[in-house]
Amino acid sequence: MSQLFRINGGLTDRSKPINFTFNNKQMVGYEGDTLASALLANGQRLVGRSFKYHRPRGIFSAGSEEPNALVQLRTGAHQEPNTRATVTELFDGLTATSQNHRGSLGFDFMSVTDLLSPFLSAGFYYKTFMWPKAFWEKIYEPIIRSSAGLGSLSMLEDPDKYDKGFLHCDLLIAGSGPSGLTAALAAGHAGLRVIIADEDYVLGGRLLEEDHNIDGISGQDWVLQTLAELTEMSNVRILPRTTIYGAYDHGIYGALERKTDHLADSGDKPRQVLWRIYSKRAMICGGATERSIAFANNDRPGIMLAGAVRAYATRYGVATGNKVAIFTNNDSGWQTALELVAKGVNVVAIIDPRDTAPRTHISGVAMIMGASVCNTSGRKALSRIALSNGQTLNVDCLAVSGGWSPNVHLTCHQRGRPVWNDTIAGFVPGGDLPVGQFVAGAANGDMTLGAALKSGHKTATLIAKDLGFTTNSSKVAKADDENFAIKQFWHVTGHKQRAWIDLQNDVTTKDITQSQAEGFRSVEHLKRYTTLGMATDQGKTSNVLGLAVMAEATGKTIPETGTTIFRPPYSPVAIGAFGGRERGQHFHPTRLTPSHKWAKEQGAEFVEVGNWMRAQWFPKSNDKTWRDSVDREVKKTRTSVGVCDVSTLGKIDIKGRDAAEFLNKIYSNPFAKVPVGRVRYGLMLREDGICYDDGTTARLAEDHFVMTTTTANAVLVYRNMEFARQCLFPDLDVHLISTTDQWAQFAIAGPNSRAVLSKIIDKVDMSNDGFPFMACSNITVCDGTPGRLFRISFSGELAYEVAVPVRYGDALIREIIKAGKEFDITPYGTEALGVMRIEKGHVTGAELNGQVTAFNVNMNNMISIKKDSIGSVLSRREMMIADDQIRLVGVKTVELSDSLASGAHFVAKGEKPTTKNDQGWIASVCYSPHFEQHIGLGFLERGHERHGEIIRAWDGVRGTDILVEIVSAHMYDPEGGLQRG
Amino acid sequence: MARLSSLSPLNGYQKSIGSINLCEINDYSLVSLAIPQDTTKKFAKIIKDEFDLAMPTSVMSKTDKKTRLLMTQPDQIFSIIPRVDNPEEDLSKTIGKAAYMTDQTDAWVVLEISGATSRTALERICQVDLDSNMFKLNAMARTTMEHMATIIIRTDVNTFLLMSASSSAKSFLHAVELSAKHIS
Repeated sequence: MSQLFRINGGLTDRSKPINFTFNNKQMVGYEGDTLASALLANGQRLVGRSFKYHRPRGIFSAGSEEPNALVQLRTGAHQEPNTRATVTELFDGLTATSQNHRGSLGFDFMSVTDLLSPFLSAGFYYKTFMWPKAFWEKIYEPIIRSSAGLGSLSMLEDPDKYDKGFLHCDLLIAGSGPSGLTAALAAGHAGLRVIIADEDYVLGGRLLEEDHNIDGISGQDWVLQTLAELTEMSNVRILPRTTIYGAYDHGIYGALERKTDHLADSGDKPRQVLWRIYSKRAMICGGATERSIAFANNDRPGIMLAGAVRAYATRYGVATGNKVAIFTNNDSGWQTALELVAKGVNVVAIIDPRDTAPRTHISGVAMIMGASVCNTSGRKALSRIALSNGQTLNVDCLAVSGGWSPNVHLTCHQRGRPVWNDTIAGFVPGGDLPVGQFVAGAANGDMTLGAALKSGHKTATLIAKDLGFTTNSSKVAKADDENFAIKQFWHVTGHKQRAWIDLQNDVTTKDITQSQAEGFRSVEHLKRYTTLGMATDQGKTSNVLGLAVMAEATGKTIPETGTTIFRPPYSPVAIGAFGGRERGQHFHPTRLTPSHKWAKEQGAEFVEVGNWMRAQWFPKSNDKTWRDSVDREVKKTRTSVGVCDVSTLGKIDIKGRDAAEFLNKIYSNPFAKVPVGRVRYGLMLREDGICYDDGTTARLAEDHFVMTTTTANAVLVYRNMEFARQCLFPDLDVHLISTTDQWAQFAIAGPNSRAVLSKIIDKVDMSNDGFPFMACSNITVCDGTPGRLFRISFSGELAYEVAVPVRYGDALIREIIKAGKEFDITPYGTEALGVMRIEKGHVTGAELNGQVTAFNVNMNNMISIKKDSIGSVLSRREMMIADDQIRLVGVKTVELSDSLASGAHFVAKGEKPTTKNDQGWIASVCYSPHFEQHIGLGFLERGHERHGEIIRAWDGVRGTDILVEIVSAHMYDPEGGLQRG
Repeated sequence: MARLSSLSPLNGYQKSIGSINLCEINDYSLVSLAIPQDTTKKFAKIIKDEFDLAMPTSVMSKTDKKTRLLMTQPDQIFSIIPRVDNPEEDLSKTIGKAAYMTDQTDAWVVLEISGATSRTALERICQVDLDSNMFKLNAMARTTMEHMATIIIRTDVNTFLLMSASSSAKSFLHAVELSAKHIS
């Protein structure tokens, strides 16, 4: 297909042809074309089918307001549905296909719905599919769903990359038409940091699409001159292909920059970037959008907005028809006629419903005043129009102008409500703009070029002054004010055929009047009942028209009828762009332990613990299952020695002359008199008396403690302690700093742990008297590396924890393994750690779940009554220490072959498992290689009095019901002789 | 027994991506200096006497090219000094007991990003306004980048130090590297 409709002029580069396909048809356009302009140049009038009635549809507009020309772009995983051809920049190799038809675009089987239209009016599905009830889910809904929608997804993962970012400026200008450009110039000269963004790939707005003179040169030359000047300014950032899609709090705007959508291949770069723009002030210079007039069959391909017809001729050098008629209720339609004629386009008539003399004389054009278009014909494209005066005209393009609606969207995003302006017959921004936001140009109702230039300059100058800048170096550009008179003429009445208001949603004047008749008169109800103004175009060309028809139906004025306000986004944003780079493993950071590299070399299985990756177990070739690995690690540790990286535990250095007193207030048990060189186990309560963390704290000097917290609560504990330090006890001289990432810490446990450590530690008396249970000290290891040693045990064995600065962590684990070789030392992971702590009866997050008190975990004696500490008073509330409260217990299966599951409920034998009979739950379970059966920890009513009792562990989720014996939580070495020995 | 060998969080990473240079800085020691209650003036005098540096503020670090001081909270200063084995001991020789000291050298990874487009890369992950007139030489900010707590310091025209937790060093590097690669 050759470019039969290409005419002279325009801004496309004729020396750079571009090949593309539409529905597999090879076509050629030029650099600078949109897909829409190239299709029109190639004579492709029919580009899609309408949403509901599958009516033939063509290109309607030349911008982001396009309701009809939605296509699928690209193929395979890159396929993107519902893309507006009018804003799709043409590139070599572009493939586009039409959507929403069964069969070919020319012969769509689904167009039968058009014949059924009397039954498919607004809200039909609320009424039509009521009976029989059972049919809804199985028949009606699947049929409606398969028929609805426009394009289709590839159902493959999106291979494109997206990113996000943060920009800052004194002044953000949204839109680069005459007001935006002149504002940028004024603000740029004044020294403001300016960001000017436009959704188009070329800046200039209407100046690219209309013929004007500014300061004695053509509008297009003025744009080039202005852009050259702005480009030279280091304080001005120009963002083409960037839509300001949302206005948020505190001067923050959302912007979508389409980085590579105009390229065949993104390479390795992000396709789109979602910017968060922090602005001190913002100017909305978004211009205005033309709207149509409703008349019978006003949706045929070839019926377009008049401004679009002008834009295709002026910017792209494309005639939208061989015989063009113009139907306008305002003077801009006449301007269109003048420019089309000047470019050699055959304009056969201009039809104006105003009963006045023609607005100007245009040679060779029939000027029909006081008349309107009342019907059209043409099966797949327009071929004829019928006028109200009885005339018919053979035309293949009808340019319609029903007036212009200022683009007030961004002024509404914080519930600003536009107000009606009778002079321009449109809504303009109201007074309740977002803080720091200003509006200029046509978006503010300054519809003529001269006024737009003035308002852009004036507003930017005011902003500059307000921000403290000097403004004397730029003059306002001058241009004539073109005629802009309009008659409020919304739709042609007196016909039976359907007249379209919203082309994207197939909403007709009849739907509006029906909505009114059925009581859906509020604007918000109208929108939801008819779908007026929904979907990708958000009613940019239809909202005002719909309101006007509703106003007529209700006998009210438009302002009395009201208006819907707008929400972000201004135009569609891909979900992928909102996600940005946060996909898959990009989603959150990963923390690695100091021994991670070594553990990986050992083939460790890792588990995510918060952000940490911890070794879960270390498989060996003989291990058939994970349980074999874990059992082996436990047994080896209990019989010889094991080593585990415990660096993930929170570590907080507490320093200051009042550090001990501070800890005394933080922990429920006493800390004021812990001697230097000793460690104490501590319990922390919330203010309401509930336990929230436990751990050990070592006193390394009079004014220096080192606290350990659970891995999960490291941040929470630190945060709470900072709050206590700064707000509750500001008079204490105490300072906190997290040292979790500073120290690599390894637990070495088992009867041979002392022997192993003795080979590593420098000059420390490791005897039981020299370094007893709960001792601590600053030490050196491996001939001088500074470190810390703690004799503490989570496993219940003779055990130590040795710490060195993280940079030595990898080397230390290797030295420990080397030193332990003669004892067949085993590394153990979090699973073995968990088994040993359950055997020993140590609580963790599974037990301290935010519901239990010290009383519940049998640690009531750890709440000192001789001092005050956070939570101690409320922990003594009567209900919390009542005899029938739940208490921590150990459980063993009665049958050795049974297994336990955490979450199972304790129920007495012979009773039904009901809420009333629920006596507690199992919190942690494991298979104990030591006891050779499943064991667990749980909470049972009066559990401390019920050791030896047999009770049921009922698990409704997993469908198990077994007998368990209640035992002491301290199942392994209850006297603690091993860890003290 | 041989002394333990050390390993930095990024093992001395260094790479150029386009016009951006990224490298791990690991020839420093970092010590937190917590100022005892009601002794800020005394501390400031010692800093002035010993390092000839004024007290840093929460937005501006102070440096004499050898030492850099950052204020990380009202009563806490981070001191970045050339690498020594025992920085707490080393610093106590000069400032005595004027501050409670905690070695933080291993708690942080420090990445230096430089090059003409360093700001362009950083604007993808850094919410702070890094414009040269707003974020002046030696300016600092505590912020987050890709969910990770970060301290950013401007050390030259287009050079910034980025400090983040050492345990998530690889994730942090990935975030910065990706930003450099995504420049278009």
